[in-house]
Amino acid sequence: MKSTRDASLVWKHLKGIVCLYKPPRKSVAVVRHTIKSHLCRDLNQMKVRPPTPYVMIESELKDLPAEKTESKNVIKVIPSYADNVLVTGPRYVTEEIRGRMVHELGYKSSGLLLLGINGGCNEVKNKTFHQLVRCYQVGVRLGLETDSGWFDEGRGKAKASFKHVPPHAVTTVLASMQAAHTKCAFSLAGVLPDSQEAYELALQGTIKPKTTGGCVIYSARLLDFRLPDFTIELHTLNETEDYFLSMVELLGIKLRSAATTTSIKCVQIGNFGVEHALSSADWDLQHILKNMKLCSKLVEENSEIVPNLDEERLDVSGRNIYQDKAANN
Amino acid sequence: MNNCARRHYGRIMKKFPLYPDDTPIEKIPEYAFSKPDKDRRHLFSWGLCEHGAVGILRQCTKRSKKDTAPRYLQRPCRVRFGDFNRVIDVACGFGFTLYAVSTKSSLKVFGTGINTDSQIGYQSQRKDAPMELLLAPVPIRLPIDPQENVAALAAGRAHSLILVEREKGKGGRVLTLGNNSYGQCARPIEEGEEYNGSKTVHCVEGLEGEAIKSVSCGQDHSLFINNRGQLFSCGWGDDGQTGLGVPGKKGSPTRVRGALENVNIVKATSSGDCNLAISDDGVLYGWGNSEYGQLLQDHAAQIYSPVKINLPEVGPVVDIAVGGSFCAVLNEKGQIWTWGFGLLGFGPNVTQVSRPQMIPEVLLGKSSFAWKKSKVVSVEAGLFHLAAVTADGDLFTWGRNKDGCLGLGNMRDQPFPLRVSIGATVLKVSCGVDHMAAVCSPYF
Repeated sequence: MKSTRDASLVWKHLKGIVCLYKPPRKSVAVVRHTIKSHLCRDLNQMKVRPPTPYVMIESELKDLPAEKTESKNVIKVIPSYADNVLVTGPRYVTEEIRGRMVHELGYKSSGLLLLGINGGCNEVKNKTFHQLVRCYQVGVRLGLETDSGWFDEGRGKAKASFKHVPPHAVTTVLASMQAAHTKCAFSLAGVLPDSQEAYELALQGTIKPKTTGGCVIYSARLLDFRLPDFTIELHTLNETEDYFLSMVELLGIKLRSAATTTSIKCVQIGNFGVEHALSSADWDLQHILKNMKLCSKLVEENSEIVPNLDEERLDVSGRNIYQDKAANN
Repeated sequence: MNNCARRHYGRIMKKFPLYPDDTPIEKIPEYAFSKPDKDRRHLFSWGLCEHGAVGILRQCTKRSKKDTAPRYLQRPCRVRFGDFNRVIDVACGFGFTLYAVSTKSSLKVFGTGINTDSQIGYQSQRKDAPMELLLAPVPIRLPIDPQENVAALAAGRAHSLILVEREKGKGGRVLTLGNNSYGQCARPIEEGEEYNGSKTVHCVEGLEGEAIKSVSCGQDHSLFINNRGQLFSCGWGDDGQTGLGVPGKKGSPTRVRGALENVNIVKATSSGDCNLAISDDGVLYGWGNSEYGQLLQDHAAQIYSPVKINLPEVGPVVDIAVGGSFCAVLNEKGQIWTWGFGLLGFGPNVTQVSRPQMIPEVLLGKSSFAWKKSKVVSVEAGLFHLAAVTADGDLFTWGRNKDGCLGLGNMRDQPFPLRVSIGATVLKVSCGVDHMAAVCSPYF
């Protein structure tokens, strides 16, 4: 492995996708800014571009008789004071680094976050990273319902007993939720469920939504069960933190109890796992460059990431294409 | 806004927040939920509701002049009757539904829907004024002892069969009521008999000295299996439905021979005029109408005597379902194989399948992400549509969506299996011609 102290050379290679592990109670924007500022900090500590040369011509006109007008000019080259780091500020600033997220995580959620840096932003935009199925682990606590949905936040809404809830009840309710979502996926994919297109999509197994409108749950299962806590694992697309909170609340009602969320962790995005992610202690230039190399390898290996051809079909406003079609009929 | 939504939104909701801002969590009272009742059953129904076969009175009647009662229930609706009675079995006929209820009284069978041929028994509010249409479930007065139980129900075009047994699994006798113009009620045909307002209930005590363990109805014929595994049939046989070798009506249960001569039959089923039966070792037999090649016999449109149907690719058959123009079988692996004519589950472009073809298992809930690969446990068919129930209690329907009978929330035909949104575990489903009913248990 080559080592260099040249910041401009490093800047040239600073493009790609990094896989981060976002801690809870930190917004995605803060994470992105932290990464940018740490990159700038490390780049500025390296051998940065020296100030541009300043050419100075000095003529010596003193003590010469008037008839001898031949001047003696001296050309001097000195570092420009206008381009000095002390005048212009640091060479690398956060505004110049571009960053683009593949998906959003809520303030209190934690877990994997894919961030495109500089040239990686185009890659995030032009390829189907957003269609990689994400795996979440959601911690649930029974017995209490709050208005925020979180166990440690908000006002208590209701309390209920929970000792009667067996694990198989959770499994059954989750199985039905999963099956119901598979059916919804057709309308989110923008196809009528009685068309040949829908049939071909259904044969592939996972029906990926074309819109960013609604959440699809591909699989929901119970990981561990120790009353009053249990953990569920969800494979989803188009998810939001609020969706999980309301889903857990509904789960509590269906279990004849009340439920709140204790944690939301994103543990997998396609073939990106927790083992590939950078924890917040390692958010520095060296680790990020190393992680970029690892991530580019993972992107190449993953056959699901293809050029995004459906750009024009992507309905960002969340309008239901399915309903529009039905209205036209 | 439909009636259901209007009722929901019109209700006064609980005021939120329930407790003032400064209430500590300790002060909020804890609600102790009751333990769930394991034997509790929910009843769901959907399809055409004009003839009252869905059994939901409020959905079928106008409450005011402005009120527009829905013609169809496009998605499953809870039948309140099922909340107050423990429904154990359900059978959907042509525009009517029968419910078997587990009670200690002698009123164990209820019915709703069309009653023009007294298929729901003699029902009247006034003297000598039999009701031809019933919009809500009513009890059928039958000669049943309180100690006896209803084991199975079957409903045809205009006749009903009720299997009553004294001990569970021992077999019993069959009560028949309704139209007998072809002899489908297992009694001699009387010319000019008036079926509307008829109080006749015929009892088939046993066949060849053995108790009856299973009954099934086609359109105008009936099938009985006795404890020895012998099949008997009666009713209309012009297309060979009765399997007696000759066309014609038959007014008494007669032994079906042909290929079934020395075979222990477990199940026989029909919904129109084509029949399938399976033996205890999973071999398939068929007879009746084969105009669409449903019975895989090239030479004849009508098969008057049962024939063995060889399906080497399918393997041993566990469950069978017959529609008007197609057949479906379920094998030991939980795969559904269909053939015939219609929307069989292979997309909108495939309407004719001449050899058995497997419905892709991905469509029945076995996607790559589904961690719990639940098997299909039973398959049912109406005249134009199919239904499958998985071990998890998910219901899938596909086929022609006549009057919204698929319960998928729309009126479009569904060319491949799609899950029906029912908020409970489906145990048993019955397909009528334009409506369906399902007996479910709560999740928990």
